[in-house]
This record gives sequence, C-alpha cells and structure tokens, in this order.
Amino acid sequence: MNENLLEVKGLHTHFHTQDGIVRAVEDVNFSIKTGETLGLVGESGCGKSVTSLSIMGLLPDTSEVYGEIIFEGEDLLKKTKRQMRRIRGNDLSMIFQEPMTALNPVYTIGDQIAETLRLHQGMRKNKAMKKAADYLELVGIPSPEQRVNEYPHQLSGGMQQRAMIAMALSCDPKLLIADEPTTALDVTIQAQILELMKELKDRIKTAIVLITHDLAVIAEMCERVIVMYSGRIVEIAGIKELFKRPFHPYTEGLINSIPKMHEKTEFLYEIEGAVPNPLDAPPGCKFHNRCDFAQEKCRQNEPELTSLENNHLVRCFYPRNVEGGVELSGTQK
Amino acid sequence: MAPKSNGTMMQVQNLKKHFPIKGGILSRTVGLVRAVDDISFEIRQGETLGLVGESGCGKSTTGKVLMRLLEPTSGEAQFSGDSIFQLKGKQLYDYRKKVQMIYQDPFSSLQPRATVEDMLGEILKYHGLARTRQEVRERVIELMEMVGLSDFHIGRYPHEFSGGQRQRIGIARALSLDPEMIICDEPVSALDVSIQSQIINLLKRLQKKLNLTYLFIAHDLSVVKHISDRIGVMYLGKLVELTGEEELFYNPLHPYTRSLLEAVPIPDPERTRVKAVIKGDVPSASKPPPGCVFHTRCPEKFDRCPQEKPQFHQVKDDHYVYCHLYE
Repeated sequence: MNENLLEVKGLHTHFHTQDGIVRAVEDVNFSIKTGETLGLVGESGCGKSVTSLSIMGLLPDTSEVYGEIIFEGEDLLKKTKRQMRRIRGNDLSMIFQEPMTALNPVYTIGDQIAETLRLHQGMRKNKAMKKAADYLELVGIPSPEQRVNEYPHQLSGGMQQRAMIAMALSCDPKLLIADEPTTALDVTIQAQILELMKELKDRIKTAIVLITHDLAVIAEMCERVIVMYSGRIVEIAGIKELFKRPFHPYTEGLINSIPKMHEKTEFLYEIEGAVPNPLDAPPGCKFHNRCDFAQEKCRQNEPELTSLENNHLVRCFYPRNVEGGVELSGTQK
Repeated sequence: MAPKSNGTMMQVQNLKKHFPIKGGILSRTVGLVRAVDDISFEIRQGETLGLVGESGCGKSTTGKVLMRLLEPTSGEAQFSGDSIFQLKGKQLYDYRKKVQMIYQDPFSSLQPRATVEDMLGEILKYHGLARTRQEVRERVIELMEMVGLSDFHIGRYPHEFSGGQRQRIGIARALSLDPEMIICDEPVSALDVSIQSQIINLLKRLQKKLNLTYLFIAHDLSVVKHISDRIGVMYLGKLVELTGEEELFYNPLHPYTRSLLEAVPIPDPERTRVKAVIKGDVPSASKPPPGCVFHTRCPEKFDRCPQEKPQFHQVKDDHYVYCHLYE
C-alpha cells in the first residue's frame, strides 16, 4: 500500500480581484496514500480550504489554478468540467462545515443521497432509496426508513452532518475531503462525529484529508499533518513527531498557544500580530514579522520546504528543536 | 440555593427566563422555551466565574438577563446589595456603568460608520467622563494602550481592523466606563487560535490591573478552565454543577460534566481518549424531559430520574450539583 492515491505537485491558486492578485495557495506539494488520514491545519486565510477546493475543481472561474493534481495516475487539472462531475461524488467526495447550507432544503435527505447513487452508479430510484436508508443506518441515524423521507430542517445539526457523511460515502469514495466537519457542532456531538469517522475509515478504507483549525481534533484523528501559513506549507510531519518536536516556530507557537486542560499555566504563549494580508504579504519568510527567532536572512529570503529528517519537512532557515541546530537554504525573493 | 459569602459581587437566585412561542392567527402563546430555568449562583469580587455549556443551554441568555438586555420571567439578582431587576432611570444608568459586556462577534457589535475615537468619545461624553475634545482624546489613547493598540489607531473605522484588533476595541469600549464587572459572552470563539491566546492573556492582565470581576460565558471547556476560578456547567436551562475550576476537572460529579470533559479533544496524540461518548442530542428547550432534564442521555439514570426533579444542592464545601445521585 505504498502507492500514492493523490499527489499534489507545485499547486498555485490565484484569484484576480479588483485590488490585485490574491495568491491564496503558493507552491503546495504533498501526497496521500490509500487509507491514510492526513490533517491540514492552519488559521483562517492560510489556504487550506482553497487547496481542497482546487483538488475538487470547485473554484469559481475568477481563479487560476496551476500545477498538477494527480489522482490515481491522472491529472485532475486537465479534466473537463464534465469529466470532473463524474469523479466528484464518486471517487472523490467532500464534507463541508455547515451541513445546513450544504444540504438542499427542498429535497428529502433520501432523495439527495439517492441522487448520487442514481447519477454515478445508474441505480433505479427504489433501489437507491433503500441503499440511502442503509447508509443512514451506517452513520448511526436512528429509524433510517423514516428519516429518508424527512427534510434537512427536521434533523438536528449532528444528524445533518451524519446525513452529509452518508451522502459523501454513498459511492465508496477513495478519497474524502472533510473541510472543518465538526467546527459548527457542539463538543459532545463533535466527539460522536469524530468517533463515527474513525470507525468508518477502518471499515471502508477511505483516505481522508481532514481540514481544520483545531489542533486537538488533528491530534485525535490524523497520522500525518500539514501545517499551512499564508498560502504555503510550512511543515509536514507525523502526528507524534509534530507535537513532540515541532520544527517551525509557527507550529511551535500554535501548539503552545492553545489552553490545555491538563496543565495549569497563568498565561498562554502568544504569537504576536496577525496573519498577513494576502495582497500585501511581507517579503522573505512570510512568518518573519511574527517570529521570535527571525534574523536578517528571514526578512530577505524565502526558505524552501526542506526534508530535515525522515518524512519531516519544514520551511524555515532556523528550525527549532533540532539538536545542535542547523541552517537550511532558501531562495532570493 | 447558593449561600451568600463574603465579597459577593452579584447574587442570582431562582432566575428564570422563558420565551413564549406564538402560534395561530391570534398569535396566542402556544408554548414556552425555558431558556433559563431556575438557576442560582453568586459571583465573587475579583473572580472569574465561567459559565459553560452547549448551544441552547441558556448561558448567553443568563448573561443578557443580568445585563438587563432581557427582562427575566422571575427570580432575583442583586449587585452589591441592589436588586438589579428593580433598577430604573438614573440607577439603571449607573448600573450599566458598573457592569459592561463584551460580545462574540466584535464586528457586528461596533458601529461601522464611527471611528474608534468617535465611538468611544460618545460613550465618555454621555456618561460625563470626558468633556472637552482634548480630554476625550487623552482617555481614548489611554484605553487603546490598555488593550494593546496604538494612538494612530484612533482615527480608523472598524472595517480597517483585523478580528483580534476589533475584539480589543470591544474590550476598550467595555473598559471605557471603568466597570467593576464585565460579562464576556464567547469573547474568543470567533477568533483564530493564535489570536485567541492574545485576547485571553489580555483579559487576564486587565483583570489583575483593574481588579475586575468576570462572568465568562463560553462553550470551549479548555478556554473556560484556563481563565476561570470557578465554573458553572449548564444544560437545558439548568445549572447542573458549580464548583472550583480544579475540583470540577479532577472531581466532576454530574454525569453531564463528566461526559463533557470526556468529549473535549485533547491536543496530545500520545493520549488515547476513553471511548465513552454520550449518545443522542440535546432535547428541545420547549419540551424539556420531565424529572431531571439530563435523564434522556444520562449513562447513570435510575428510577427516580424521569419522575422527580433533582434539587441544586451543596454536596461538599463549595461544590453544588443538580443530580439525584448525590442526595
């Protein structure tokens, strides 16, 4: 199972706006293996959602996407809209943050799940509706035969998100992109949904890209993590490695700035300042103006994403938590 | 019922807030949403009392009622000896000087067409804390520095600030009248992780410096645990547990509190979570279950729970719980 299911190579996504070009995603490279759960973490505006929408081909026409997105050996960026429609919802599917806005309010839950099955698998309506009920049962919705005939507003937020998951899984996708799947939910419901996703992953062997701003959710769910900042990947590491020895000062700061229930500290670590405006990003390393360890070099040159140890990559000249310390290279910008 | 101790700043007793549900062509009241249903607690001088719970549990309604933004259905609340719900005219005006509020969404709670100086200036002038333009400017600059902004920010409009900066302005506005107590309603939930820690630290520093008392309302248990001295847990309009922050964490009594603590994801991949998640959803507050409101989801329910309402009572020193298990 060492085959890469998805490979993203040199992905750039730019938006043309009245105020100039917004470079939302810059030179993003990563891959995901069959059955793996990969976390994508970062703050608002870091490009994590745009990365996922670029993969899904769901961006508006005002955007420009360069690079390669190889899914099962084929470049998704070279596909026509029609071909993409056949892949989306079938081999590649997505769960969104707000189930209420992602579900169609005028169709029943069953109709919406059955539509996917009828379109992609050519199922008859009766059979598709039965299958829809099976999926609702799979995601833990009680009395599924009755729920298939209900409308989204008749379900609670947690139930709606379960229905979304049922829909996303209905065609046995090879890759599932979950964009903040639990952010809009209460904590006890979040725990239920995360538990469900773990169970289903083991059963269906779907690869998952989990996008979230919540490091705690990442810690519970993922095997590998990508940290993004200002449109760039700043660190890729195994989950335990990332929490134990974060290389990038941003990752380290992020981990230290969340309140931890098992520790008592008077003040939390603060990353000063705010995320840069994408229209006016600083030169050099994008994080240098908020970094406690920035030096002259960081202000002028942009570091490259470099593999420092086995499967642990970082975009920083002076990575943290490295014994003896090292200096990495970059490009003049 | 919570007894009164020394240094009580606010005493809340049997507070209820029910919203009517209107229906039919005559808009008669056809039901009640029991948003806050008979809760009692005190807020002590200089402390941070955290109020935590899931959506719809009544935590924000409690804050709004205590701020007199909503009228209570029944119950009593006293602020340094005066009954809050009886206040009128000049007294209410004085009360609002002493108790201020910070909201979740800083952008919608700021006036979009006023510069920071105009907005804060209006408050200062209305309450007679600054008269001349010079006085206003000095005080506004002082407030801006207090919340970590600079004097060059005072001529800007809300849309020119980032989310974290807007929340700082919201805090500056709350501080402008030198309040004794601030009700913080989800002040960091809309902010990014790195900004969240800045605002939490700012609130803590200001509390020390100005000797403030906070009622801190939030759904994020790790944030509430970090900032609070005592924590109240709410569920479906009821206060189900109230105790010190450490005690709540190491010795939670109410089954709901325990489930809540177990459900919080831990930012540590080495820890494996105990898989004991509570099932089901929160029932509707317009049709709360009979007996104990939590019995429909409770892993430890027994015969008494669906029949009899538990009392909110003291189990040990400074530890109150609403549960039949401890009666």
